[in-house]
Amino acid sequence: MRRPPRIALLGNPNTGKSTLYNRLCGLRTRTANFPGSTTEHQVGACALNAETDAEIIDLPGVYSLMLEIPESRLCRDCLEGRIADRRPDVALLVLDATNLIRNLQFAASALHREMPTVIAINMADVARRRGLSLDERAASRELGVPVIAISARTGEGIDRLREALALAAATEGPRHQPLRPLPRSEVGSREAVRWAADVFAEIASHGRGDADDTATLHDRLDEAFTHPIMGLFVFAATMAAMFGAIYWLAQYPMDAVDSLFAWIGTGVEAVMGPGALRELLVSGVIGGLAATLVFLPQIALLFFLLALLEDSGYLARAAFAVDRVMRRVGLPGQAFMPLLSAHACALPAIMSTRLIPNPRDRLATILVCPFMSCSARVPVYALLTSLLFVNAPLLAGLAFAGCYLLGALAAFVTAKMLRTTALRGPSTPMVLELPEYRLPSVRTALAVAWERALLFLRNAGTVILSIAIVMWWLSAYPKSEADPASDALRERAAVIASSAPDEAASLESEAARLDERKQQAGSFAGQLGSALEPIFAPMGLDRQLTVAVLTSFLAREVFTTTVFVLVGAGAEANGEDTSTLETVRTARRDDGTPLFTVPASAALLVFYVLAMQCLPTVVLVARETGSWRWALAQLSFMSILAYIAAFATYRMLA
Amino acid sequence: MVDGTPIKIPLSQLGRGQRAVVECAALDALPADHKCLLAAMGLGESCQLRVCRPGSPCIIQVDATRLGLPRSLAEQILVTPLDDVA
Amino acid sequence: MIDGALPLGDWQFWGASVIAALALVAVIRPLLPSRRPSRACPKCTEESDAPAKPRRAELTIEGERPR
Repeated sequence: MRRPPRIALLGNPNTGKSTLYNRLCGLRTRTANFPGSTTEHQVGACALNAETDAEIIDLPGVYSLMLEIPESRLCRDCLEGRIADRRPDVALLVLDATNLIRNLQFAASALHREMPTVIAINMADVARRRGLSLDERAASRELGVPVIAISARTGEGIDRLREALALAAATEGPRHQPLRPLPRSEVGSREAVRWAADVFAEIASHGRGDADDTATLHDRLDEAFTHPIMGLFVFAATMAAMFGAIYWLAQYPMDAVDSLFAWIGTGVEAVMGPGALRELLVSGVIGGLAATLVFLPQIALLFFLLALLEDSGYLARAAFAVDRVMRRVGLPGQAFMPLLSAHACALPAIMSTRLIPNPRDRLATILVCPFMSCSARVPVYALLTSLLFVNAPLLAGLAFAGCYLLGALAAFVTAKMLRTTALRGPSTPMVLELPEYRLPSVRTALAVAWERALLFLRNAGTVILSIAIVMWWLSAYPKSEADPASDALRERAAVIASSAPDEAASLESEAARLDERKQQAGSFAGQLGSALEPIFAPMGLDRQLTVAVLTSFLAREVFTTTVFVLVGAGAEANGEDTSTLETVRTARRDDGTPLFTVPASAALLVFYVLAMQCLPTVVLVARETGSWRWALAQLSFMSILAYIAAFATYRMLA
Repeated sequence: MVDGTPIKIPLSQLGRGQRAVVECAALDALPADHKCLLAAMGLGESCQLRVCRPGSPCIIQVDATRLGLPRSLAEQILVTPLDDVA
Repeated sequence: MIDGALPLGDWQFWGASVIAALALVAVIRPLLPSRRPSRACPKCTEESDAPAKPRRAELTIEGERPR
């Protein structure tokens, strides 16, 4: 069976490559890691016609194929067949119709490769509105390859593009020669600029169009968005609105996920007979799945909104606004996107640091990303702030916001420390193209959110689910016999069952809770907690909380589930349910004192802000930095910092 | 102009709206990787630019490309101002 | 192991334990190195005849791996 043709999609940044990729491939996209490549690529399947499906590799946008930066090298490697041991069958170049002189130079450097090529001149609709008309036939003659004017946003020309790609993939033999010799020197040289200007004069003409008043407006907007004070204010307001929207909108799908899995759990309990497999299914599998999927809405929403902001052109300006602040702590302006996305999840945030050109800057950003309070910390913060500020939601909210600020502060201080010690050295000044302001594409933003959600599920989902299953087993075995006190309660309940049924039910619940507690204490997890309790006692934790903290070292999501199980609220309990909160608030230690005292709760809160508790992140850091040393150093530093800060907090408040 | 010779000044000294031409060898003071990148982005020799926003960042428009540069880079790029355009 | 505290006679216990063991493998697997060096050449991999594959990520500082 003939393998599908491979098409390499390349072009300058901000030409709408991603929009075109999504238009061609839709949801038929996956992330692949080819042999010979050090990065992951988006690879999609595109139906060119009824008979031909092609594979499209989305390469990073580059200004030149010959720059000594990873993205350019990657494009060269792909075009020269060093990735997956196979040259692409067709190169699809995407040019920006509103910036043709620069883009034509890039096209010339790609055409030198003498491989089947199709050129798509994107944003043809925008160019037309500005009075620029393009002659596709003249462009094809000049460049010696098929040229199609398209609008990836509206879909204009896409069908003709597919036909051209199918023809290019199927055609063998000598290619057409360009009408005039391609420039020999590099993009940006006088020869290349002159060549591009000559070609442009042949293929494009200016007519009447919308008056171009936009330059002055853009200047004013740029001034506002990059102003040292106004720019930061606009940025802060935008971020506040964005995060507010996320938390407000995400609660609906999150509640739906909670309800769905609670309903599934109830259904399983009704259908299956009691036993280990039912417990595994309900507490391990279903609980683990719920713990994973409940964060998807926040992650997807954050990336959706960030993609909208980026597509609008605002984020490039915001990068300059925050660059001044970031430079003071040794981070580049480009770090703000990864640090922002780390508020959803550190995994895609760390992967997006690949865009930071300076290795020291990139490493510093990777190492401080986990300090940003991610979605997994939210239920922990919610539970602990509710316990600390009972019936004072405003104070609880302020404490909640304080956790985010503490995480960001720790990130900046650590970055400053790193850049003055282990990662000392000059930073690369930030040069950025500021794309045009435009109405963002919802379709593209949805595609980005989908891709990031899949990335999270792939990297974290299996690990979190597996941890939940392992923790269930360690908490379920060995089995303990019933607590003698619970036998007495049950006997009393039996006696008063007919005369005081409510009280009898309450006694039964208390008896079940005592048995559960004894089971927890005697289980492998509980014994581990008892053994390690002396280490965490200075932070105010007892055996039960030690178990909860230890289990959450692999994935913080597990903390609240473990606490609910420990106090008898049940693994499917909801942290916002008042009865659950009351159960947790009144829970007792083995010596009868309250489990969640103010000093202990505050110490736990500080601990969770600063501790690195995510196995998938540790693994990813090791991969991205090429060394386990950095990952383990980061884990050790954050753990020690969290411990010391929690200890200090406990001592101050005790 | 002084004695018929065009004056070359750092880009950072231009004001808002001023146009200029990037001089030959004006980018040679920059590190090689910056020079190549800026050229590939459109800021090459003999190109004409307009200052949209002076200061830091220095925002310039070269043809249809709008670039943001730190002041430290703008100070190293020599340009010849063109006559004031309204 | 505590006598009589693991329900060894319960087939469901064994089923659940097998699943938990597989889950433990899933947790540990990303932490393990992807290739083991041979004794003859500690710096070589099992695919020593193939061209050296670059590491998954290249993060160096001035050409050197960071300390």
